[in-house]
Amino acid sequence: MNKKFARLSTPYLYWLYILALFPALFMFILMFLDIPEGLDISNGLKFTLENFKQLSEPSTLIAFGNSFLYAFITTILSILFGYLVAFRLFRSKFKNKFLVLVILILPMWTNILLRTESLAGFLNSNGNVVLSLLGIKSAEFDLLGTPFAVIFGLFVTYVPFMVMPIFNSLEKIDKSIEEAALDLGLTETQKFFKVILPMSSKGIVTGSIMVFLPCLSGFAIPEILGRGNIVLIGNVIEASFKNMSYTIGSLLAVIILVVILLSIFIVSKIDKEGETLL
Amino acid sequence: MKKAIIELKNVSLRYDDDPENPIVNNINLQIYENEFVTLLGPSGCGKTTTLRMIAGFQTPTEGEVIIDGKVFNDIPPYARPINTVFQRYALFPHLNVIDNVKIGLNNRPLKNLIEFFGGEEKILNEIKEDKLAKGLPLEKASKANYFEINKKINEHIDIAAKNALSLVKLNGYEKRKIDQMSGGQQQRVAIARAIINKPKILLLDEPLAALDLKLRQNMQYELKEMQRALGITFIFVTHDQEEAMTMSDRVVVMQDGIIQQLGTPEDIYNEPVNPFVANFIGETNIVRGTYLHEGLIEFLGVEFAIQGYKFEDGEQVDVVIRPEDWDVVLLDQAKLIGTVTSRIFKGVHYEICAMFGDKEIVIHAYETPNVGDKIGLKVDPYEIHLMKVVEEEVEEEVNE
Ligand SMILES: Nc1ncnc2c1ncn2[C@@H]1O[C@H](COP(=O)(O)OP(=O)(O)O)[C@@H](O)[C@H]1O
Ligand SMILES: [Mg+2]
Repeated sequence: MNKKFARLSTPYLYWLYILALFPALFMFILMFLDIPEGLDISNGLKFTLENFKQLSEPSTLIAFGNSFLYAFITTILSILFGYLVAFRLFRSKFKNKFLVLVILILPMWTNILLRTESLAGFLNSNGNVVLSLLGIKSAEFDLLGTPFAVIFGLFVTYVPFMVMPIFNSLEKIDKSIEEAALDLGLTETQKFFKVILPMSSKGIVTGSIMVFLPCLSGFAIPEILGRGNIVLIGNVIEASFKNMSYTIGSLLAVIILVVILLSIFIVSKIDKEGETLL
Repeated sequence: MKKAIIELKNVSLRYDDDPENPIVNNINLQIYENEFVTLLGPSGCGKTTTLRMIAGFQTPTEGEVIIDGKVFNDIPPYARPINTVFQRYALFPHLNVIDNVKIGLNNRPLKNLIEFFGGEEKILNEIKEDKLAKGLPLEKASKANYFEINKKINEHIDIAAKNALSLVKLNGYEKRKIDQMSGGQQQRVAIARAIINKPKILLLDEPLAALDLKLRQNMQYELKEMQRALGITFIFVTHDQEEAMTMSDRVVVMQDGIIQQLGTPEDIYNEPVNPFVANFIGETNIVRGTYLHEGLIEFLGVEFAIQGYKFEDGEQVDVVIRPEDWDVVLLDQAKLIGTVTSRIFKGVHYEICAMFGDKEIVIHAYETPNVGDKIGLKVDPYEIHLMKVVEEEVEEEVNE
């Protein structure tokens, strides 16, 4: 990049250090500290590995397990659905494909809390427009607080992150490559599985990580749609900080951070040029 | 009688947005077994489109594509005995070299592969021999299950792929990634990937266009050799007339979707049928003349003897004389005398331009007249080629 412009970005880099790196570093230190309840540090700070005991607590393990499970299920659903949408769009003769993508991303520009709240209203029997229209009043249709609601919420929120990179990787496949496959005797089905799918796999990997990570670490969606019945690790972290048990919160947050960094590392290995990202 | 392997019958292709101007316009063409045919024409004249109709990527709007006596219009590409070397290679970037070469065979049904490698009996026999060699009793060796047959076929595919790679001189590159190969090497992979399938017809769409001169000349020679050795019909597309001349058995000169001339390189060079072909195939001089009577023509105000053309007496014709066919002679022996306007050294010969009246003539010669000198020319009767004047040009002249 142009050196002049690079210098323009310097202030932002400093803000980035202050707002992201510094808190992360702080959390990293906090997780090794022994801070008693009530934040009474009059006896001085002591280093301890005591906090790590929290990791073997069943509640933490369940929360971690839930997080991975829900993130995994959402990712799989997003791959299946996202690939279908991306492929359909890729194949369509529609001229303004970009418009379709914009419509797909449009909801992402509204606040996630608002979106989730309205989804909650939708899944709640009480005030559900669809059910009212159908004349159903049974409380059995109250889906709020079920695993389905949480997965549905995660899926609806994050599936655009899957469609984009897959679509981008499909768009990069030259028409003549597909013709070459047919020319060499591959049927349409073989062509899809032997050529198109492997050539768009970068997009699937990128998309998967972009869906998996926010699902793994988020807390708003399970909080609102799970009504507290379903606890993910994000909820535990949030609760820890709320209850002023900063050391435990930091420990869990740092673990999630490591998972995220690892994933980004994997993406950068697989998709070196970042070509499937926008 | 040679057997036509491909026949295009009144083939046209129009796009919906402009049905008035067909991209390919009523083409008739027969291509014979083991022939090296080149489609030659300027960019945009419909060469690729014609090739795509033969390969099955486009269906003619009108007419028939006949392969081996059967109409193939609606048969998909994968079911045609044809393979293509694409203009920009179109290799699979997610596969290495050898997997690129194998992909065609790897995706065929087993039954088809058994036939491809010599039939069931031969394959079973080979498995039996292998087992006997390992010391198994005859009774056990005579039976083969699905997995053993599959394994044998895979061995055959491996060997075929190695052979194809050595044919294009790429031994040792099996495991390379495609993006680690140079343009010329990718070119060879594309050829190996096509010929391993033993197609009856190989289509090559400007396969050498992206290579540098030296490599291109080598590949021209190698492709020609390959075509002889394999006995496959090659249909080659190029916009480079020299390439077409050196490689082909027959050349199809195209312009605006129409076949202008079809013939051996010699025919097309020596006896172009119209000014387009004459100009496109190398440098040439075209002069308007009058056909006086059999054996005699007049142009540039002088009468010349000719051989073997028949027109109406007194008809206007276009006279074609190649630059190298002029003989530079002493002025007192010359039929035409002009003034030299330029002289350029071209390595072996000089390219001399001279004015004869208001007409400029290009001459290739070994003599070295200076600019401004008088130059005398003669031409042998058999070097004078006549073409019918194209209608619209006559009209234009009338209008002027
Ligand atoms: N999809 C299309 N729609 C309309 N015109 C096309 C299309 N594809 C190609 N053409 C036109 O067809 C003509 C012939 O193209 P092509 O066969 O590729 O020429 P060549 O290979 O001889 O350079 C070109 O003028 C091109 O603009
Ligand atoms: Mg072309």
